[in-house]
Amino acid sequence: MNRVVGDQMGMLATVMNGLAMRDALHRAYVNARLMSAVDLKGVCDSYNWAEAISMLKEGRVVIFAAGTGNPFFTTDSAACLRGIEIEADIVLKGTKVDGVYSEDPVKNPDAEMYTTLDYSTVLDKELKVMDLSAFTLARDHNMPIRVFNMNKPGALRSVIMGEEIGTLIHNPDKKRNL
Amino acid sequence: MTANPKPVYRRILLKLSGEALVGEQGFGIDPKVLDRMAQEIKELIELGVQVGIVIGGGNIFRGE
Repeated sequence: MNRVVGDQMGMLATVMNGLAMRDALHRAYVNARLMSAVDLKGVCDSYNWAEAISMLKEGRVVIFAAGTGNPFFTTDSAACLRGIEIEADIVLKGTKVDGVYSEDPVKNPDAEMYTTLDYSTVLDKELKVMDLSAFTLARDHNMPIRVFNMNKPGALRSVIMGEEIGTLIHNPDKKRNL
Repeated sequence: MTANPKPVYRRILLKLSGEALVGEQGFGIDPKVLDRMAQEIKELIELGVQVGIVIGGGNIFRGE
């Protein structure tokens, strides 16, 4: 299949997930809005930075769908991009593993999990955190990333409360360029 | 339960992979997983944290 078409189908898949998440949040009595990077009139809102900021300030959850709206960019790129745009304090990457390991923990049970890393170590050791476009975007804007296991109930809350769960990737020397 | 009574973040971007929504069925969206995540996100809102979310799509379609 043509890569561009495949990526467009992937973008629509994220919209479907976003619709399901918005619905689940509404059922839990949480105000949520879905914004898509590609226009889908009648289905969800289109991405608008100023509206997103004002809704976040009102305490609404804002779901950003369709990635960046461009082929060849992953949803990790979208996460870093939107995180930087909305001036988030951190990008929290919820995964099915506990954090970033020195090696694949499935292949090598002795693989070590890191608690903190700086951006350059991730690049030097070629650790799999995100694809390079996404990762270097975060690095260039000093956006911290925490990788943690979203399948563990309560982990998200613990991260928010400052517990050192999973792996934090940041620049220990620099404050963020907002 | 925790040492800090207050959240350490004011605004976060939560990235969830599409695979995280699959649950035990192996494909698509598991409503149970979705409801659990919605509850966890609700807790953050109740703590006053501003939440933006990016979700992947790998549970429905994978390019390449």
